[in-house]
Amino acid sequence: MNLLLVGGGAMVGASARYGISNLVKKYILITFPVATLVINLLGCFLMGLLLAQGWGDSIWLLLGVGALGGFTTFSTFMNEAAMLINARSWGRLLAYLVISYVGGWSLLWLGLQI
Amino acid sequence: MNYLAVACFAFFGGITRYGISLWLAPTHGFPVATLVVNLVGCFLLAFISHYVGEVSKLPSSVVVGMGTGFVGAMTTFSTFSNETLQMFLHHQYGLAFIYDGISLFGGLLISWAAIWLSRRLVERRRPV
Repeated sequence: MNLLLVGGGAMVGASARYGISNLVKKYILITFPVATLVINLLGCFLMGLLLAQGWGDSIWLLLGVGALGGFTTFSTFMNEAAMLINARSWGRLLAYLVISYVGGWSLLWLGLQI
Repeated sequence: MNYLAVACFAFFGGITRYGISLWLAPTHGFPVATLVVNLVGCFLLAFISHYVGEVSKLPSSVVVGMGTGFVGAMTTFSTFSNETLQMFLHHQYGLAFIYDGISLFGGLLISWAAIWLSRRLVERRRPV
């Protein structure tokens, strides 16, 4: 049952991530990984809000571990950062890393406070 | 079709992450499970996008499913950020520094090396 909750949540989270990244690719033509940044920061904020609710274990497995875990991604984040290294875009690389890390903690904390 | 593939592969990516988190309990407060899925995922995503996607005859929906769906859902940024924030809130600054440092430099190094390796392997298959 737990596996179904986590897996079902991840299906929704990952589809939403794929949808957002397709939308961004279609409408925004800049060489900065905006989609993943927005997805990861939004996911952190929602994770903070969710943690603050203190709902039960099943909801946590479905929404926290499944949906938000599947929505946010570390592998794409790091692969995009490595591509910025290959492109020698040091400024963009630094901005991407700092905004993701500091933004992630800050928005999670903000979500917890609301 | 791509959405269906992403969702189906993500189901298994999510439960793989959950399974590993049950199997690898935090050691001395160190979230080993998240670190392992995130670092392994960095390698797999680079390999799938830069090697499998280039040379295999798999349908593109399957490649997108494996990368964006399975690996994307197996790795996580929200849990990682939450673990770091909890370390801050418990004044475990050293632990947070080590955790984030290994994730960041390990993730970057593994991704970069996997992209490099995949491109070399692709070149080898194409006679010049």
